Amino acid sequence: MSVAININIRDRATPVINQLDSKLIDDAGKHTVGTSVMRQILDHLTTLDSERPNALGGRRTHFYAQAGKSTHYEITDTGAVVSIDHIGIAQRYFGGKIEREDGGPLTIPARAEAHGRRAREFNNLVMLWGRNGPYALAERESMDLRLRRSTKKIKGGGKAVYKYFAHGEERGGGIFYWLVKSVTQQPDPTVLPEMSAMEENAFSAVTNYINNILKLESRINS
Amino acid sequence: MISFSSQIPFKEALSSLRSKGLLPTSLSSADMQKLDAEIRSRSLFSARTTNAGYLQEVKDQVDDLLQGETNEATMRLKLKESLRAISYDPVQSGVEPGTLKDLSSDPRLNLIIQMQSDTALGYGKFIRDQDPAALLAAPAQELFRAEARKEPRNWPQRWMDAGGQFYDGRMIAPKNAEIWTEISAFGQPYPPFDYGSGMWVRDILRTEAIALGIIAPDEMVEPSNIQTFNTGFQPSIAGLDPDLQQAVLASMGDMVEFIGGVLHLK
Repeated sequence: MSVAININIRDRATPVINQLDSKLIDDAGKHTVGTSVMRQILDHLTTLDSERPNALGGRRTHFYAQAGKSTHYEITDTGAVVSIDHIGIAQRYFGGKIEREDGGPLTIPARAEAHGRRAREFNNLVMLWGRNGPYALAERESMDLRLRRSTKKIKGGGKAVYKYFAHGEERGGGIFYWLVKSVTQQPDPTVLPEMSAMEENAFSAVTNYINNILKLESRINS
Repeated sequence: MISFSSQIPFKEALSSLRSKGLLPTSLSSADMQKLDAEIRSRSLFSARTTNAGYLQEVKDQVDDLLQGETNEATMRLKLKESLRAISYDPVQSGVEPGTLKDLSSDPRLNLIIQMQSDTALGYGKFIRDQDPAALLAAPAQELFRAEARKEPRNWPQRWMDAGGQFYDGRMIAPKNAEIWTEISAFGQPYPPFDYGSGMWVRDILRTEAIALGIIAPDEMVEPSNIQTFNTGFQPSIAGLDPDLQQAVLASMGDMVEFIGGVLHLK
């Protein structure tokens, strides 16, 4: 799910912009609102991306940076709507319970290799069962076999060569994913800048813009 | 007043993706770089990917990603399943499994997902920025590092070599300045500017642009005259529109030919 934020400047700023009597200048005021908040969110998410690598390590998916790139805006009659079209961003902001629609278990990565990957991308995972049903997906256990040779003297002279398999390195068994019925995530409002900060930023940007345009008009008229 | 709202689709980004024609090809990425930048921007292709059905799956998945309806891991899984469905085998294709040349490898799939989605987002922003009111509000943009890299390219050097100026040490230029095309490995004025670069652009508002001396107080940045994706060619599910096929042939001379809708080197 994505997040969208509506910034309405009609009450405070639009009448002033409207006095300038130009659709271009009015629209540019709304673009100023949209751009300023979009950039604030982009900068915020870029900072989070550098500060919050995934706890398991492994390949970085750059979740926050990607969310930042997906941030865009559209102007409205009264201001602008800024939208972050990135799956998972709303879940992190608002929190809530996550369950699979089909009632199956959720797969929670347990190690770095599993982070950012779907369980079905692996072809060597087996389900581990406990008293209450399946509880994890683990790497299939295997053991290397080494072909060895040995020689033995035989009666009457000469040597016999024997070949046999010896135990090699044991692999697998490590848990890749925990299986759970649901996850309840706490809301994390720090995923976005504070709403009041975004509002202040928008009004500050549009005020600067209006002052800039008024200065320009007075210079042209004088 | 500020409040939460319902999601709005990134129309320009979606439109750029949806209007692309599929260009199955046996050519390498180096060969495809020789194709005219505008034609490349109008086509969805991946080096040495000859199956149009698979390219359509890539297009559909990126569409979902741009709408916030899927994530990279699910998309990668779907593309692997799609490759299995067409019996793709890296060994039979003569490439080393697990490498970038292997269409089903994680590095290759991650690259195609990132390049296709970033290109649509970058182009979408570029088109939206061409609105004269948007250019009046934010006439300049800054090149910045959005994602850390283990071995980052030297972008300040590249910026300087391309004639870019620094403002307080930042790489900023008017939105439609030549520098944006100059720094691009793909000859496009919008990000991504290179494979897996991690660089992106952020807007500079009018007041900041004036304060930094990037534009004069009475200066207006003119919209670009670049053609939009919605004009001219029509996309085709089966392959590339005949007009675009002709444009590809005109661009690459007699080096290439279409056989069964797939672009090959002669």
